[in-house]
Amino acid sequence: MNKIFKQLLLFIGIIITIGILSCDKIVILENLFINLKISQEITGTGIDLLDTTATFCLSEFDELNDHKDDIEKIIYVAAAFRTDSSTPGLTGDIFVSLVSDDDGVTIFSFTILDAQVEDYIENPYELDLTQEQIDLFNAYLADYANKDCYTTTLSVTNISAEDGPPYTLTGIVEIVLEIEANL
Amino acid sequence: MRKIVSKVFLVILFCFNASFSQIGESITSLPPSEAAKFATPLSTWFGTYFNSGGYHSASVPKTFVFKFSIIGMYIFVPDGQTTFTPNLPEGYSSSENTATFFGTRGTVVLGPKGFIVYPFGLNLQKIPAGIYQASGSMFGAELMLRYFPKLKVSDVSFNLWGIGLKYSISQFIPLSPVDIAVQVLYNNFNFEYDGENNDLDFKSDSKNIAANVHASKTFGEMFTLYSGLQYESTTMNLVYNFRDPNDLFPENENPKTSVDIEGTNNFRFTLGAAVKLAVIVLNVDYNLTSQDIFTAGISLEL
Repeated sequence: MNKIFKQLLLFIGIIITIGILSCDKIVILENLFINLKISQEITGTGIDLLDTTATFCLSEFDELNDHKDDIEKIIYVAAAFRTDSSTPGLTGDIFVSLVSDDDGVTIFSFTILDAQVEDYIENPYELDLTQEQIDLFNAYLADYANKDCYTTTLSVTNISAEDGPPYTLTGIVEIVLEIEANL
Repeated sequence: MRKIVSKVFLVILFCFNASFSQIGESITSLPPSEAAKFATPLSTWFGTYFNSGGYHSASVPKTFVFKFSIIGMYIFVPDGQTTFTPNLPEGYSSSENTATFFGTRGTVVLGPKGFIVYPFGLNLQKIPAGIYQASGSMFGAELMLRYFPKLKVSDVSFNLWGIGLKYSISQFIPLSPVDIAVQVLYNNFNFEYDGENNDLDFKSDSKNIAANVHASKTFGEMFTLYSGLQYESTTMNLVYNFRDPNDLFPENENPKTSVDIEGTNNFRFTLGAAVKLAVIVLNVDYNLTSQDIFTAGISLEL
């Protein structure tokens, strides 16, 4: 019986070796990629202008926290602004920006001149970042451990509307990031 | 001994499932129809995996023989199973395909309710795996068993069991030049992710049925050539909490979602060879099916 067990043990040993080699190949070659969508809902009320901010920190998101010790890279993918609700007929110059809380540097800013705010309820405005803005954002994301938090600003100037003042606007700024983590 | 065998199984198969749990979390953002398209190749993969290694000879002993086998595999996921065309809601459009479970990039599409974000796949097209099984044969019939008890590792738990019955046909055909046998297989695999955030919990239950007829010819009691045709069917039931991140399905009051995902593995052709060295049998075979698979087995026959 001992002989049989010895044979069995040898047999399993060979297979363990093959198995570990196979598995390591998967673990080494394949990283895990996750799309992270950050949605910032921002509401503002004003008489002459609307100006409001919201802050988010990357460490608030489970997708990032679950892999915080294994993150290889975080990069920017896309961003957009859309209107959730507003004073009827609200028009003006919409300003959207993202600023690093760490050093106050503006990562990107956009101004949509003479905009009908309600137009962006069904048709979000894609914030089409320049390569320079993307590179700057990615540089901050690369240092996510120290540059964790950002402030989004939404403001409307040169306002007019069917109703009001006061004027109100609830807008949503969405940013999609790609996280690469080691398995 | 059980620990060693468990390790073999864990290392070979479940290093893959660590990734499965991560991707599974992402599935919770997809409605059932999209989750099904994302996971169809995975369902097929389970079928391909479990319905493999059932035989390396059609000869079934009439006296009692015990056999313990460990089978290593290499499964090839074709390009066509790495992406799918998303079925986008009204107001959204995209010409880009997105990744399935085995694909690479999850697409991002902008529309009235903001970005719809599809999950990334694992970027895997050649997947090694393994399984062990024990069988006993007598009177021209063979019973094969596969079993792994429920095991919880971190937030993930899984278990599997499988059974196979094989019967020699050639024993009723005098002077048959080859051995012929028929076999049915049933394998069940359960996987559950139960993390801190209950919204991301999900579980899957893969049921795999196969029936085959196979033949073999042994030369000099040592070398065997074998081949077979197999019909198989795989269904993976996926239960998860659909999070509806874009609020596109307000009518969906109960987020608990159950979807049955059929694998595309239906038929396979197997061609292989085996060599017997005392009580050890080594075999290799290649299987043409929805996801082609190369298997190599080592069996101890007593």
